[in-house]
Amino acid sequence: MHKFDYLMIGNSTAAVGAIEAIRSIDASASIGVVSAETEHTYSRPLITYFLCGKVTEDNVYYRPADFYEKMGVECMLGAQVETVSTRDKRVTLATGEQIGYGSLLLAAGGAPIAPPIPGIDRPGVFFMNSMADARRAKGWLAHGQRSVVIGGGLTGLKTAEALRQMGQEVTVVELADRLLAMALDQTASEMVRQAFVENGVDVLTEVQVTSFDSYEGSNDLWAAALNTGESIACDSAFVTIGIRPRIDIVSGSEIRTAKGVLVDRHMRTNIDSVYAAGDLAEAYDPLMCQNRVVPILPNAYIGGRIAGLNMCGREADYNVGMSVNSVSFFGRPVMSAGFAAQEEGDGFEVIKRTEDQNYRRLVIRDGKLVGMIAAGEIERAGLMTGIMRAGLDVTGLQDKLLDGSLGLIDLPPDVVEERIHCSGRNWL
Amino acid sequence: MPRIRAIPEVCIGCGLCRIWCSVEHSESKNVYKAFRPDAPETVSCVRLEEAGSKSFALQCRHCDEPLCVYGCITGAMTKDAETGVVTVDRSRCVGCWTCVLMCPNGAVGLDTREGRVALKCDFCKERGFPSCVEHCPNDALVVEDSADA
Repeated sequence: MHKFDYLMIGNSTAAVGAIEAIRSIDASASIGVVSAETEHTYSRPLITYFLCGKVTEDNVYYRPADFYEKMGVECMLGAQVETVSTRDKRVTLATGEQIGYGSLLLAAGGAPIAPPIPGIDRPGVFFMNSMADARRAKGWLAHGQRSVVIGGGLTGLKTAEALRQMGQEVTVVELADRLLAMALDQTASEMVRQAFVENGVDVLTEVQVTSFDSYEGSNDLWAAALNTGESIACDSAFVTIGIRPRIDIVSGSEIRTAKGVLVDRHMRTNIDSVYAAGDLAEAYDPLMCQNRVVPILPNAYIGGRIAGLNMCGREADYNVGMSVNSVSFFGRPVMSAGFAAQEEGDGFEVIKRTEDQNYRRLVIRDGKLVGMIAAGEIERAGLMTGIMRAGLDVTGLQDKLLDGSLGLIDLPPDVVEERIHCSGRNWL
Repeated sequence: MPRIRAIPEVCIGCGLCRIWCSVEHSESKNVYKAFRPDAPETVSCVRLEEAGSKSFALQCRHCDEPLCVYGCITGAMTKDAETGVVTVDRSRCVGCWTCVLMCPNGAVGLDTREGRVALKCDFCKERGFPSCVEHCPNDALVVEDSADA
């Protein structure tokens, strides 16, 4: 049986974060990667860019082609993990092959949620969660004209934008009352909708697709039926309503799970030698003061890094687990962090500023910034997430925060001192 | 690892750091030609922080734990293992601005000259020594070895 000092299940951001952390400490330990996907490590957020041709295949890859070789990592791609046995410290693959480990990182990410819509398995209906999905869709779209995107979240909207830029007629169907309901309030969400509408994308909210229908004598997608009784003619559809952490890879083991695999501040599970990071982990969000699944790339990398450091015996805490999102639609940027869409009340104070295409929304609790949205003007928005992460009091800074004139120099002198007099605070 | 350090006590807020950064990152790299009306638009990676009579220049701190690098969705933002310098590969940046949102100092900017890519201090890697430091008239910018790197 093959045995690695460090074994990663997953080949994406969190695993890369862990590998780079481990190699910064330990040059000789053996590292193995087991991944169900057959691709070299790639950037998941870039697959919509790949779809429409804005990013070439070479640039979808998250690390250079020789990354694993240079890192001295043995890669087992296209290998499905069947079970994890924490007692014997080994994983069993679908092929029956067993691999032993010293310590294990669970970083298998999330699987796209497939709602029970009749016809979801028709040719022409796609998910948009992997490079394989994007490749399949790209081939299909060469002969398509009309697309329906189910789900107005980040992935759905980036897919819709890509499809539109490919010249498709696009309709977005969202169940909630607004786009990006998790990350944006009504006003910012409306600005995003505007960007789509102005670029020729139909946006339907509070609407559901009830079935994917085909044409007589064919199995291919022909239309998406809605709960309003209407039907949208389409030759492709993209189901992007979210992801579910792939906790099934640890089912039957003693590893504790809730929505995701539960980890402590060291990204360690309840089993000493087993860690988890990325979209399958349910890690601590210091702003919300609870463990949460926050499936975003920055947190996957940092979580993986923290796991890797701890796996090597270098103690490090995961304390940057809040949610942050930055995205542009048709060239218009929008950002949010923390309690971004939180309504006023319950101890939360909300202040806003709108000017032309610029919008800023700040959520404050006990004098501290706990949520932000910036659309349009986004220069130096990181000052706000920096303030949130450091838990600084923003009393007296609210006007500058709102109009974007805040500088580092406006922060407390000891913070300024620290930030400019060292080579960067150790944020981890 | 060498780092640029600001000394606010002697900064007079003249802004020459910004000017010389613009020159270094201009097409001509010439202080007369760079700002001519017919010259291409210039950018500066240095910010002049001012509050009342206080001021200092701020560039990327090239953090030991660079959140911009960790947050980069494409792998365009990297930290050189040897020099510690954080740079962005313009050909791979897609302008998602996650780095802008991640940088706690607001030191990553937006370069909208051609395409839309992140803009940040590259430690004047082509030049060899940071131009902002060399041209600071009052020695309010120095290069020193950071203790914690």
